Amino acid sequence: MILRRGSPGKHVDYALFSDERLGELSAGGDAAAFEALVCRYSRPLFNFAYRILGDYDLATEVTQDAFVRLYTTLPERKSDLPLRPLLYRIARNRAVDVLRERKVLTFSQLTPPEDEESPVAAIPDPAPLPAELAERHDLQRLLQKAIAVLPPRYRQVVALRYTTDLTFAEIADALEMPENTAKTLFQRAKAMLRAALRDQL
Amino acid sequence: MSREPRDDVDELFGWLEPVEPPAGLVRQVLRRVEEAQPPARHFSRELAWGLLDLAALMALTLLSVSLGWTLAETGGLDVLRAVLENLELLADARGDLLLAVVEAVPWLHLVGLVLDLAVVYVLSRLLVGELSRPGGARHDGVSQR
Repeated sequence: MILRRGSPGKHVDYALFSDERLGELSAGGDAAAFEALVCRYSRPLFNFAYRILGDYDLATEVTQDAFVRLYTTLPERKSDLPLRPLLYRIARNRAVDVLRERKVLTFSQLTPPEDEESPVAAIPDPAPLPAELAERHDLQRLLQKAIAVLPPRYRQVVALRYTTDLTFAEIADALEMPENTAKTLFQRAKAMLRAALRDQL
Repeated sequence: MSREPRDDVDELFGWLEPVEPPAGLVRQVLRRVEEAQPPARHFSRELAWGLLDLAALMALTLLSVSLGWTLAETGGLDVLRAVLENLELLADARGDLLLAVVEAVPWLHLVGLVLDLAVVYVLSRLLVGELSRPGGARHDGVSQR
């Protein structure tokens, strides 16, 4: 695939195009279409990677790698997977690779459990967190720290849920798991987050 | 996010502010993508090498025919025929034979033929190299960043 500009003198507002259309045009070598995709998704993708990795530079690297991988994948892309979950899936896989390089993870941490029952799920839902917490000066650090201590597979669901506008169906596609599993993981992750944040108060 | 019921954790993480990516992230991504592209195929270059190769092959044909005619005119073919028919001449009259060959062979034609052969070889290599480049898309206006 060779990137090239569209017809000279012909103004096209790529911001109006759907992801799928931009993907098709990019696969055909339209540089402006691919640039529009990068502009559209660089920020959310970076934030997703940052929430998983907790490292600014690594998140930058993963974001770049994900787009390069998407670019090479586009020409032979399967049409059954929409572009948005595909992009997050690529970024997630790259982020997992980076996590593996930094720290050895067990296979069970990266794959959904067979047994849906977990002690974490049994944590009772306590009273609402104090509203004052939102006003704390270090709220952002606190929230990031809470995400960072989650096991990776929970962290991925939380990062996708809270940093993107993906639906659970799309999150499931991105993480290559059934939608119900994604929802279950998210509920468990929230219980963990609640417990972790309660400790901070 | 979809319209799922929101609880206190959702509300709290609603305060999670997006982190600003590096200023040049889009530019960096596009540059890396540009670097990841296979070398572009140039149709004009392929055509140029092809035409030059064809011209060199035609010149090779003409030079070969011309060399044959000149050899016939200068008696070079007779010398060669005599040697092939009587190989003992190589041993008995080596000096005379060598002198006859030096006089009969049209050296200028021969040098031209060898040079043209070299040109055909080089052009053919260039043409094959150009045609075997990956990336089937034609190079017509690649964006340069």
